[in-house]
Amino acid sequence: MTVSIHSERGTVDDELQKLGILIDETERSIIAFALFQSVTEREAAVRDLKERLSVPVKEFTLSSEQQNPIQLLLSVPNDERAVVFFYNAEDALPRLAGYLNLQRETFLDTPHAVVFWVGEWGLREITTLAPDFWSWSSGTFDIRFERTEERTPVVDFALGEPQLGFEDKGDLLRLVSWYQGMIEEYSQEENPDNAFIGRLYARLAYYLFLVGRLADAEDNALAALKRAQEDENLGTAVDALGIAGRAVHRLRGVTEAKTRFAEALAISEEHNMPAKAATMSYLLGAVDLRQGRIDDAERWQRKALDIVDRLGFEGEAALSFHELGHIAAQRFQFDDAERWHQKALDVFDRLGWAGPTASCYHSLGEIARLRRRLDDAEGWYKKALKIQERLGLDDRAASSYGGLGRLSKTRGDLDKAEMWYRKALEIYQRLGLHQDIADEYEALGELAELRDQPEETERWYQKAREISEQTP
Amino acid sequence: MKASDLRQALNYLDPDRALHTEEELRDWFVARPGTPRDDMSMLLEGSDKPQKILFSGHRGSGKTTELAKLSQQLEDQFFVVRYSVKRVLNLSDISHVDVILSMAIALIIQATDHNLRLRLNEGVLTQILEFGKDISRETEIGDTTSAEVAAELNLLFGKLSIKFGIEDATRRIVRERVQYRMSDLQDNVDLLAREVERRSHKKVLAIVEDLDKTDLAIARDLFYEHARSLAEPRISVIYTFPTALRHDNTISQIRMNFHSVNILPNMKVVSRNGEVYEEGVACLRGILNNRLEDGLISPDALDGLARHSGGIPRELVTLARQASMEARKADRTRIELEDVEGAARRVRMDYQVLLSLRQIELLRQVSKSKQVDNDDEHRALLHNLSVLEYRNDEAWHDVHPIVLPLVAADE
Repeated sequence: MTVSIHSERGTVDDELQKLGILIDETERSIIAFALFQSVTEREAAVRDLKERLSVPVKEFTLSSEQQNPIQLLLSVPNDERAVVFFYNAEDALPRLAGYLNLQRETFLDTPHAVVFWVGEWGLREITTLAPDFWSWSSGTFDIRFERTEERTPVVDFALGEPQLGFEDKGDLLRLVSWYQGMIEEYSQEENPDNAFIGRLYARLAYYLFLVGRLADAEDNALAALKRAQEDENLGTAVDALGIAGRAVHRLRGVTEAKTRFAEALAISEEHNMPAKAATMSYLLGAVDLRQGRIDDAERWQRKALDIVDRLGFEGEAALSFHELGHIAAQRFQFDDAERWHQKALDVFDRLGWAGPTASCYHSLGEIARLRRRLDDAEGWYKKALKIQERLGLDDRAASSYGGLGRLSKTRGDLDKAEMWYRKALEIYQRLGLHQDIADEYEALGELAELRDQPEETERWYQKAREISEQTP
Repeated sequence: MKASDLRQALNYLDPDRALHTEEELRDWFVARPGTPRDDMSMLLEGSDKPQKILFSGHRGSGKTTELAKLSQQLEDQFFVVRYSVKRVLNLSDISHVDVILSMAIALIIQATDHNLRLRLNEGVLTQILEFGKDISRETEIGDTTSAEVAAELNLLFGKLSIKFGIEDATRRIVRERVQYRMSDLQDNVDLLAREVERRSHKKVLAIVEDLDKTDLAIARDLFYEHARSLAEPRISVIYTFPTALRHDNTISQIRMNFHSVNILPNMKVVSRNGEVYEEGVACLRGILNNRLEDGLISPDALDGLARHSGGIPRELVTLARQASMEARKADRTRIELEDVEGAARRVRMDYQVLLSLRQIELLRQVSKSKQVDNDDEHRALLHNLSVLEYRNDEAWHDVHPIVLPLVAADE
């Protein structure tokens, strides 16, 4: 990966070079941390670092079943100095911290260099729970690539899932037409019922959002809000703000969306509307997650869960399970992430909520891909696509195409990867989702780079930069 | 033993190793202002009765090195048994019985290791061997028989030590058996200690390291609830204990059960009013000058490292290692100030990840008041070293110099 690789203290390349010097030039054991923000980037950095090192590399993946790095470290023979990379430390927390803190001397009993590849959350947990171990570290190396947006492929999928059990897109389109007709008819009455029409606008906005007509969805949500405010119809106002926020999130980013959700939450809480408060908490959590505020995101989801548990809303609870899966994935706690998604999937499947079911399949595919279980990943993506294509959830299907593209790239099948990326790109271009378009350009640039086509590479990266600069 | 180039510097600047060997202590040790080492030494040397001493300091403040130096200082008068409880016990599951037993084991192993020289009384060794066999019954320790009692004793307690540290079942069985025979255990420690003293003409001193790594609840249990047991052995003992316990309400009671409580202060790099404190800075410079040949680091860089370290030796060495990496990367043969700034940014990033907004706000207050409240929030800041404690006639606190820009940036 060659684009945008400036970290806060210099380029990622600089950091890798320094880490390489530390590993190669020290003669005894050392402990270091490498801080990254997505598995794909970590993999790129590891590939790069391996090429620089003269010592052999041993790699271990920790998990909730394998929490003891010392056992793994001791399996590396001491006759030749090696560097030992530990991945997924987050999955092994908090017990891992106990091993690190209480048995840190064991690390020094070997000649090896030890590098823990961690995300921000993992690093924070280790520095807090294993401060003695951390204080022995020779440093944290910042391998975070500069990002144009805070989203990562693992979580870009969840905000505003369709919650109902529609069988296909035709259902939704019929509902859109039906509500449009109703609004027109009732508006022409001599003394139109403002409150009723407001509710119709809110429903229409919701279905427009589900079929991907985001600007129309926002317009209709605002029309609903206006009528609700005139009539002080607070329930409709909250619904309208929620739908407007979801549409805005896709159109213009998280900040404005968050304002809408916060406003809706304040109304819900002030006027004792717990179900709506739960929805808004869920949405605020989803937004915080996309802004990288993982702990805040978890607090919102736990709050939403508390409420829906009390109300007995099983489906809504599963939506929060699904988000908790994204949160765990963001923390690189992949075991937990899979458990949450699976838990959500069981409920969605039972309730017949096809859209969220597809979303779970997609998320499980993402995690399997990141864990290099590529056949599993392909299976999950394809299950997701089957539903997404049937329901006409085009932007979500595009995400799955993108996932299949990344998967094909990992397998080394660049032609297939390109085919999937182009399918995704076509949809994003049709829907006008600029950031997603930029991401696909960048993905195509990476393919060209792997094919050693410098001009083509630069052309795609330039397109990605141009569109990113134009995106607010 | 000085590094002559930056590659060697990387190896000599090793934050995860305190000074241990005679050579390291001879070449790299720096006498520091405010250390209680001489006070402890005088107390131990001047007292006829065995002393029980508590010793604490911030993480990375140089406790292990100071204790290594103290051992060296006292080796003519004392038979020093120095060991880390972390090597022999599970710190998350530790009781006063374990501590006394680990001390007995360390003494037995060290005494029998030196038996050729000491020629300990066989009757004494046999009695301890019988006790050892009894408490290790049912632990599947395996065959330890030997023609010589000392060798058998050494092997038995060596095996017991390993199994006790790593096997929950062994720990449970032995603990149960020892619990009801604590006075026998204490008697055996005393018996052996007296025999060692008689043969070596030295008093016995046990230095129990790393008890400061236990969490507060366990530390309370050991040093408050079972202080009497820890004070029981009739040999001198130095126990390290967690700094957090000093801010606990139990500390005044704890003090009453030990002869002396000693704190290793961080080295001041600035005074409370913000002026550079030359004595502290000189000492920190000395730590690096002892390890690096002239010309490997510029004077500016040296001062920069001292300033950024906040007076914590391990932090100084970590920063210096990272600065040497920066210099190597830039193809320089000497560490310059910009390398130090690069290293400081790296360490600062860890704090950036670690600290919450609420903690940044508290740090801002500490930076103004130079004080911390006795509450969990402030204790957490002391624990993660974003707040450091210094001492003149009185203790005062300040924000770690590396963290200061984060506090200022948010203002």
